Parts: sequence; structure tokens; C-alpha cells
Amino acid sequence: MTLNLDDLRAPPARPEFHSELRHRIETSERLARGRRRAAALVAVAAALVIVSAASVSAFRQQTKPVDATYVCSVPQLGGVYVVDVVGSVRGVPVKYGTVSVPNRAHATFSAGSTMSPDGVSLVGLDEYPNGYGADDQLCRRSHAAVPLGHASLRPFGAVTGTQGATIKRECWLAPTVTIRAHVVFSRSGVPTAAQLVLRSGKKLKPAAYLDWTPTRVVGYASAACSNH
Amino acid sequence: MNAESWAAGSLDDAHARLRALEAAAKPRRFEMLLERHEARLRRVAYGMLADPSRVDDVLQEALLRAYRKLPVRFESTHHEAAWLYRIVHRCCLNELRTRKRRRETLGVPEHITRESDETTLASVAVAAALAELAPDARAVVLLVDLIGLDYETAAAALGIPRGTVASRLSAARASLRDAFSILERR
Repeated sequence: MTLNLDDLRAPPARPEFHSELRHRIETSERLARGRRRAAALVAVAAALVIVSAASVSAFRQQTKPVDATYVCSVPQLGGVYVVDVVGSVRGVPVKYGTVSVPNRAHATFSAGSTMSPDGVSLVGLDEYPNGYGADDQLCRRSHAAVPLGHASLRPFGAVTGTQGATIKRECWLAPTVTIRAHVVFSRSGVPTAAQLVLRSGKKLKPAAYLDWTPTRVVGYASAACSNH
Repeated sequence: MNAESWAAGSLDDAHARLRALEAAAKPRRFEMLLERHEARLRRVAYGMLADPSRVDDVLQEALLRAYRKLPVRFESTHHEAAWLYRIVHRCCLNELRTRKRRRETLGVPEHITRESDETTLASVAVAAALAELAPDARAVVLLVDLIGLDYETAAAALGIPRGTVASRLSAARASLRDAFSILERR
């Protein structure tokens, strides 16, 4: 008998294999929904505490410029480490029936797919009071020296106006990225201008740069970024 | 208020609706993933474990993990394969570690009898030959030579550099040839 690797035949699945799998998935989803609901309740309670504290002490509103550098771990997406660079100017409100949803300008460096439950904004800002933040699970503050500029990067887009135009690049980077954010706020705590710098890996290789205001966004990116 | 935290109202309704739509489509995406890969995943799991009685349980655990973490999209079919085979590979390694801790040894599979046909006997012999290899070498041979993944995808699936895949593959092929020739002489 001559043996060959292709002779390897897997044993057939037991008859109840797929029904068991479905049952386990349903149970797991039910438990996850319960956990999410509990987490949402905690978040709502925390938000209420924050809102009431803010109404009592409005002077704590963020109005001073923020200049912070973060080191962030990028979650793996299908075997690669992807950071989405997105900048958008203010748009006209979107109407859902009688409900009008404001279309705010924003700028984010996000990992994974922001449409998926695993997607997350690493650092980003939104034209909203205190609408600036960094993910505290994936990012931590750093003292790395990252210049606020776009040297060695190529411009990939610029949008202006108030029609919600967006520029976007998808960057395949190292598992760790460094982000510097310089954000200026209005007196009411709404971001009015920002520069976001994205660097890849321990060598801080330049990856992307966004120069943002609510009505004008200019983006620069390296060859590691594409418009997929 | 802490400027480092996201404002509660900054999430648009539109995003929430899109997330709900994506969640609703997840079971269908998972079914399609199974249709594409299940048969090959089963072969890889059997090749890794060499124990037909554990293949179903390990594969079920791997598929459950895959469902929980299923991304909305993959960059390409290569990334999809790398992601999925990596999960199965890790579950197989966990099983092998557990088996080692319990000091279990493999016996003759229950479905093998004197009357078993040549195809079944050959399959069992190949599984036994694979079991002689180290798990790392076994994984490379299975992903590249049995399933036909390219070196880059296999490297991404196993979390090792491409060069390591090539060197492990070369050594594993030689060991497998020796194991085959010993079994063929018996």
C-alpha cells in the first residue's frame, strides 16, 4: 500500500453535530445579550451621573486645548491590523420620518470595522460637547515624541463645506500604533479644530495625518494606506 | 466632565441601525462560511488530533469561537481562511495540551476492524504518520500540502513568518516521507 497525504479522510460529523452547534450558539448569544444589557444599564447610570455633575459644575467643561499622545493596540481583523482613517465635515441633518438626526463633523482613527461589534474608535472627535476621546481599553497615554506634521506623507483628500463630505483611508499597520491628537475646543466644549497624527510600530513610521475643522478636512497618508 | 470619555449622545442613530442590520445578517454569513470551509476544517482537525472521537468536539468549540468573533467583512478570501484556520489550529493545540496533561495515548480507532476497506486503513495510517510529527510541523503540512493554502496565508494562520513556514514544511515533508515508508513496509 502506497501512502499519500491526500488519503487522509476526516471522520463524518455525528448526526447531531450541527443541531448541537446551533444550540450552543443560541445559548452563547443569549448570555452575551444579557451581559450587554447589564453593561448598558451601568453605562446609562454612569452617563446620568456625569450629566448631572456637568449641569452642576459647568466650569469643568473641556475648553482648554488637549495635546495628548497615545499608544494603542490594534485588534486583528482577518489576519491583518487595520486602522481606518476617516475625516468628515458637517452635513445637513438626516431625517428619519419626523426625527432629525444631526450630521456632525468628525475625525477618527478606528480599528476593525466600526460597523461590527468588534469595531472600535481608537482616538476620535465629534462636533459635540466633549466629543473627544480615546479608547481606554486599547490605548494608553504615552510620552513618545511625535511631531504634529505630515512630513513624508502624501495628501489623499481634502473636503470643505457643510454637505457631509468625507475622506477615508484604510491603513494596514503594525499591531501597535502611536497617535497624537491636538484638539482645540470652543467655550462650550465642542471641538473646533484638530490635528491627528498616526504612526505605526515601535519605529513610529508615519502612516496618516488629519487636519480637521468642522467645515474643512485635509488628509495625508503613507503607501500603507489605500482607499479600499 | 472628563474630555477623555466619549459623550453619551455622540453615537448617531444611523450607526445603531446599521449595527442592528449587521447583527441580523450574522447567522447567514456564518452558514456561508461553514459551507465554504467545514469539510476542510474537519480534515485539518483530524490530521492535527489523529483521534476521530475528539474531532467533533474540538471543531464545535472552534466554530463557536468563530461565530462569536465573526467580523462583518474580510479583506479577501485569504484573510478569511487565515482567520478561520488560526482558530481551529489553536483549539487543536489546546486539545493536544489537555491530552498531554492527562497523559492520554491514542489507541486503535473503534471503527477499524480487520474488514475495513483500504481507503479507511490508508486514512488511519496517514493520521498515525502525522501523529509522529511535532504539532507545529503537522500544522504546516496540513495547511499547505493538504488544504493548499499559500505560504502567506498559512503563515498568517499560524502566526509565524513566511520563512518559518518554508523551513518547517521542508523538514516536515522529509519526516512524513520517512514515516510513510516505515508504515508501508509493515
